[in-house]
Amino acid sequence: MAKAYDVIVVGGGHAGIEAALAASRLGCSVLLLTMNPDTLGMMSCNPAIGGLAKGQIVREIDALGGAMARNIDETGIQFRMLNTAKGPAVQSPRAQADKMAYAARMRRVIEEDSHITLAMDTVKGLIMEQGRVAGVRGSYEEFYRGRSVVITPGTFLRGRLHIGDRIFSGGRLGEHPADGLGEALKELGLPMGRLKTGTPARVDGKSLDYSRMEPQKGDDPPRPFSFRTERLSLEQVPCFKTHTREKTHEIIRKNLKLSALFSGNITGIGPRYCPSIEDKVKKFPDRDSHLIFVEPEGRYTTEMYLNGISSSLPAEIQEEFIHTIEGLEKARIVRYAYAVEYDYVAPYILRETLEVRDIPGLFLAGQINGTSGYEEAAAQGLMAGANAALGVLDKPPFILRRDEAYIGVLIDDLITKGADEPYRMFTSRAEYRLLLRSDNADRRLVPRAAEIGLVDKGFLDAVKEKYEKCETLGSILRKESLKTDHAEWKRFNGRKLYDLLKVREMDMETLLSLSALEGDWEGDVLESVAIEAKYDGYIARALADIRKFKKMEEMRLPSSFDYRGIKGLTSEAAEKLNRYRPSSVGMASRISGISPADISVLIVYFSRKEGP
Amino acid sequence: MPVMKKVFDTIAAPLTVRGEAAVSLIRISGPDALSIVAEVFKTRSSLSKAPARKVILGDIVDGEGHCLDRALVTLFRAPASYTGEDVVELSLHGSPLLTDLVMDRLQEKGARPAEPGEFTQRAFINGKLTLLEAESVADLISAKTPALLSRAAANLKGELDTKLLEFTRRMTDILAALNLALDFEEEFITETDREAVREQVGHLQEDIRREIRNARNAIREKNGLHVLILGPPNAGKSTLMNALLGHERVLVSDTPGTTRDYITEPFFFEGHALILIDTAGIRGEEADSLERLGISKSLSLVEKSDMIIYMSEAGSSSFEIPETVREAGVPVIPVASKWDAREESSVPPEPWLPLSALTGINMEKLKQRLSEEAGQLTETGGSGAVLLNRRQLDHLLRAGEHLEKAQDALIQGAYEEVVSDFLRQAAEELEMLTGKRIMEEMLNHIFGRFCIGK
Repeated sequence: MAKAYDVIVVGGGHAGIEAALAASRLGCSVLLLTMNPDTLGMMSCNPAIGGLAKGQIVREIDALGGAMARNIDETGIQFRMLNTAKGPAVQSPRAQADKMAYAARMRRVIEEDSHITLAMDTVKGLIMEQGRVAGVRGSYEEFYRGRSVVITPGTFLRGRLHIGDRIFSGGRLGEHPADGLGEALKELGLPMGRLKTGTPARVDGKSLDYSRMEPQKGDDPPRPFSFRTERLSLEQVPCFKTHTREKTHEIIRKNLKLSALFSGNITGIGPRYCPSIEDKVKKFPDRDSHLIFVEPEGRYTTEMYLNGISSSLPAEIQEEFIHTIEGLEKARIVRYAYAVEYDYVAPYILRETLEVRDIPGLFLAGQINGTSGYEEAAAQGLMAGANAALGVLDKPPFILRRDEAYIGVLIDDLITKGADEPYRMFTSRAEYRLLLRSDNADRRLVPRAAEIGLVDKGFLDAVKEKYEKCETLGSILRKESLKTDHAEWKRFNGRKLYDLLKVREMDMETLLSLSALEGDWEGDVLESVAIEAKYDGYIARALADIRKFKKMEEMRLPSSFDYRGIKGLTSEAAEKLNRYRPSSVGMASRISGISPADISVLIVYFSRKEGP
Repeated sequence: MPVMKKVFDTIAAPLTVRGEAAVSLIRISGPDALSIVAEVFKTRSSLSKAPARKVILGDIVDGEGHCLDRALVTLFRAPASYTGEDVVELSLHGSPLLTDLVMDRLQEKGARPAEPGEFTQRAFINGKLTLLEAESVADLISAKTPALLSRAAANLKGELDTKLLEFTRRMTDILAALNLALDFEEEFITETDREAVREQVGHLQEDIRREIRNARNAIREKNGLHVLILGPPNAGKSTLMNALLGHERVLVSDTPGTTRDYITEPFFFEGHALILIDTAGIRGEEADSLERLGISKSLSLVEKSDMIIYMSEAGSSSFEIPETVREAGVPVIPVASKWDAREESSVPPEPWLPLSALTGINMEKLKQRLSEEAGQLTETGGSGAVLLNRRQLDHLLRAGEHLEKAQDALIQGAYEEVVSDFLRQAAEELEMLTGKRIMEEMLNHIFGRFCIGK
């Protein structure tokens, strides 16, 4: 009889890693099964972590004890804060990664974790016992027993790669697909569909003319992702900007029918927000140029990633159009761009814990749920792994609401709206984005994480101390007024220092230099106080808004109930509610196709004293 | 929520007013409507197999099977009915006793008397009417003027939904523009065209302000224009009231201070619904305590009025309107009364209107002034849909406030995400206004205000 694990994680990508680590942090024994340990933590597409809205997610993962932020801090080669012209709530950190170093370090994190057993196998199916999952079937070993299973197959689930009219079976170029698992999930009766995504060509940096491109440097000083990284010391590597030209578009337009996207070979829906160059040329015929970022794949390789021109045109056409791009005239392609089509599971079958509602013990995370992006995947992995562990430990689930975290928005969107196309996070998806900032992810989530044991007391204490200092500094600034001879600022004399921070041009550094404030404040304390001051008033209103929102969230709906029994509901609505099984009236109201009238019926029906 | 509780059973209520009439109509709606009616209405073929929307003749029978009336029945099968449920409408002869007996029989067989507004409430819940359409039913029934009737009808046809949807669409467009710049720093746009956003928000503000003004005027018209007749004692206020009404509503005497309380009376003319309010005359020391109470009441009415007729005797030494009246912020028509008793030379100064309620001199002129002022106060800009109740107006007012904050934020150079937050809240108010977004507390009172259905 094989050893039984508490949690089995299938897949060693960004979701699988966080799932395994989270379950381990909660004290569970974890088996991490990967098709190839050499590809653990691999970045299949762009060599970067973070970005708009995604950067906030990485910070949240860090506040929940996850590994992604620290890993990029250790292996990043260029760090930038995006959207600095805008307010702090929509600014996001982003870093270029050394892909090889990122994966290598992540592998060590996994290997050094004493609760995690890493093994190589390709999972073909699930073991079911009495309606719940009891383990998985491998290709090399027949049975792995586990009390819960987290599946994170990325693009490998019956993955098919397209370059022009050539089709390869695989999850990534040169790697095998996971066909058996895809079929097994289908046999379990899960509703499945096809999605598509793409990746651009990589070129040899030695063949590029950088003098014809605009370099883009990292921030000085670079700012770390992790709340637990003190400071970064590294030599940053530049990226380069170039763009397509009319000639490029002409070639693409002429050969559109040869692209797998338009030839009919691909049926899956691609990401609208991360379109291929074919899509861009077709959808924006007026634009004579599209931006391209040329990004290093690592510190010790000359391979460069051409961000912005993913494609599934035939190899020779890719070559032809790439050579029309400024600075890439003589580019030598190392890896061709390709599109990948893969199976996903319609996420409405999931609970808020990412457990399949009708198959206890089975959790899904990452691209299998219809998302795109390393960050979105890692966040789900962490939540699935934590909840798988909590289930095994017979503890209450760990759920984040929309007003608490982008992760809450992400999961709520998935299970109420589904994913008709690969889902990517945006700040505008969050109703409370003024509160869900990258700077305060620690304040929002570390206490929640500490409560269930996802982070240690040391982290919690540090966060408490930080925000106590913020309180102290804030109250000093509220008391003290400005008194300066400075020509530009003396018109504000007599105003409270705290209120001065609300002036858009005023920053903390200037304020401190103008006033004679005592004390030595850490940078993150200064930043936090300045941001809270800038949004002062708006934050209070957002909090009031949340109270209204919570009321609907707190009107709970039963988990097993036949909505067809409610007479006022249309049969379509009843069917939808039976399928989505919302946990609250608030969640029901976000399901597409549920009308306000249906919501009224629910409120009326479930607020009756006598109950359903 | 008492009204909403028993929403899923079968309900019945007379639709016509109680009293002797040619016909009395009873509606039964709900899952058991057909089977309940089949127990009290006997026809040649089975009612459950009868065709929908066809009139069927049969007998209303009592518990012993004796015929009470020959009646007509019309069936509507869910969802093709007013409420979206199975509906049966019984046309009886208009006897109050018969109606009571039939209602008793229906209740015996399991129907519950409908609460006010419950049929329309069900129509909303079953998706037959939007929230605004449902609300317009009450407005249509209670409309006192042709103008209000046509507005309510437009709303019932969904025109108000269409109009507000257009506002929502414009807000969404602005939000999209703002957020495009926030969410796609690198690929598409780097800077928001704040000037363009300001302009769009400005236009939206203008349109919403106009809609608010129209709504205020429409609601004023709905409530009836409160016309206050004010002035010193014995100025002839009650005489004027009687003259306008065309009958002796108010006791008139030469003794100053006869009217001690105020008296209200509806007055319809030229398409306007006015409410005339005769008040106790305003005077100082000589009033007794009861009269003084009446005086202070008169003054407190000023702030609730829509228009004031201020009367002073043509022979009085001073033509002056008290400050409280002048500054009430409502139109004032100054009238010099009892003009018949004066010499021709004693024409009062402008803008006082010399008048005699007794002989009718200049009464037509006064009515013309009233009509003009009323027209302005209830002007709702052209035709078509307009907001008609306080709930709707409150949401639109809040949407307007959020828009103003968004505009201020734009002017002050606030961050786009802050501007966007205000716009989002404005859009949410519109969603609540149209019922696209339902809050629990909203449901509680929306249907509470209905007083139809029986």
